[in-house]
Amino acid sequence: MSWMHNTLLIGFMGFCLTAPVLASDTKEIEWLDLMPEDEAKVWMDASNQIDHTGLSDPDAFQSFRTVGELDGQSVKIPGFVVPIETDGEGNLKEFFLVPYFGACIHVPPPPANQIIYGRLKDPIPMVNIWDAFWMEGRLNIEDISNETAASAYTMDVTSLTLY
Amino acid sequence: MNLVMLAWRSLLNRRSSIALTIITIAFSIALLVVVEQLRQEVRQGFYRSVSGVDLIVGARTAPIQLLLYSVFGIGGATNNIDWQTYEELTQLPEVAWAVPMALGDSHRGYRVMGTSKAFFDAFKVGNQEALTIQSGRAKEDLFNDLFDVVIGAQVASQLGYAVGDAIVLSHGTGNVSLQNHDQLPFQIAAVLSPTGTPIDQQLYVSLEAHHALHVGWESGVQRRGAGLGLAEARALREELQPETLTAIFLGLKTRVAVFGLQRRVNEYRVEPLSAIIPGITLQELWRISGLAEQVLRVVAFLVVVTGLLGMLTVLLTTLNERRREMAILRANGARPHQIATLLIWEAGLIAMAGIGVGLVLAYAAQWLAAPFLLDKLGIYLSLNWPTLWQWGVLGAIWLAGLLVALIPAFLAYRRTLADGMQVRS
Repeated sequence: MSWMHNTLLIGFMGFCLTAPVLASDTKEIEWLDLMPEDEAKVWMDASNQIDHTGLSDPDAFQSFRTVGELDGQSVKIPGFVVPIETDGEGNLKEFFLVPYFGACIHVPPPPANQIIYGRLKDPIPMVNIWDAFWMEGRLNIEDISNETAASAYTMDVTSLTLY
Repeated sequence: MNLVMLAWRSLLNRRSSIALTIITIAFSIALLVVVEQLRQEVRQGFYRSVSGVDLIVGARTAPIQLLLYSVFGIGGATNNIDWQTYEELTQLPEVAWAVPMALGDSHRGYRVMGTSKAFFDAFKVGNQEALTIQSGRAKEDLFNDLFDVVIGAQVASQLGYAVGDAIVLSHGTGNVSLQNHDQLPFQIAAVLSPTGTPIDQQLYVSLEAHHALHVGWESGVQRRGAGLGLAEARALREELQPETLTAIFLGLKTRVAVFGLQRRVNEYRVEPLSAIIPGITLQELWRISGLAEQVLRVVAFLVVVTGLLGMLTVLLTTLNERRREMAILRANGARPHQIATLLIWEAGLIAMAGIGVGLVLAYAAQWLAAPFLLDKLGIYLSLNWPTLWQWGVLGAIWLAGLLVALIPAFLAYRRTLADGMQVRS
């Protein structure tokens, strides 16, 4: 019986996660492409001095600038899902896509422009946060303009498939 | 007479053993359906429990523990955090709002949370749904009086409370309390609308009131005559700011700043703190509790397999007794493949009846158990129709029943060729 159950389950998951036809202009990008070139250079050279004394001292290399040319482009990028909002039935609705899983305790978290805020128009069953996913969709640069950031990446996610 | 009718008549002729088979299958189906529905409800309730909160900050502890006591009302904190930390957090540029909470008291087994008025606007459930008031004062007027208490929908329904009732809180979080804060009774200012989350199972008082309750308790038990009176406490309200808190819910202006802030909170040197992103910790928790769910599912499926095997046994054992029946059918012109089809139809009818009765049993059981589950476990059983997926599973089970029947059908096919009219004994 369980084979039947599994087949159904896989079929069902496939139904929910399958990508719509891959748009031909979808570009596969890497995480560093999301960082402005000058920052990327500094970031690569930097040896972060971490100050542990207070809450307001920024320790991580905080990079809140975005790469303007990427705005509105259809891209595909692999990463891990950090669930943020679900719909009323526990399906995944909004999440962060980050380059690695789990906050590595030894180094600071990724800078803000290494995080994409993904929004799914149609929520999908909750995914496993320990698995990597290909995220595809239109990348947007959202103007935030507050004390901590000027802009950030968001994406209208069209598909989230297992890496 | 077509084969289905023939199968039906034949089954009626053996109604007692067939009825037992149907009941066996029905019970297994009922178990499967109930497990599936419960699983769905529990899962939904689980993910519905917190929304709109970017970080939860508490004393240093395991992330799951912090989530359990701050959101689910399970277990307790290992330590409190300093009020100073709360002040510092609220002043950070990336923080949009901070809601403090103090735990430790209860009312007849339901937890009491000391918090600020902002809680009712900031804390959300499910699909970013804000908490709403079912009856009583509007949100902005809550905690106007120091001894206002707001209660969850389940607390109201289970204890039969209404707005305006006076209640006494108890020290500690046992089901029954021996130490009551009876010199400071609270008045119910509002009842929250049901949310299907742990919110419904808590009572909410202002932080100052929570603090007022504990004046005189500094040495662990209340010193005789040391507590505040109602009027005294009201007059002192401004000074009743607590020195410690149990946890803080944080909302950020920019959600992408959450990782950086989490890191800084975890590395805060003034006191050891833990900050969790609810979405991640919910998944970690589900990874553990979801295991039980999977085990239940497997067991339910195995029970269904047992039910189908029971049907197979009945079909096989009666096959011998029915040699004469088969022979008569053959003599009347039934072809061997028709005899085989007859048996498959029989199995189809048994499985169908089993599934039908099983569904009725499952919904009856859920209907009967719903008040108990709500009362004892806080699980809302909404008695939904089976989902498309569940219908698919039931259909697959029916097909599996037909497949199982292939064995007796094949045997009957072989035997009807070999057997004559005469029963050799």
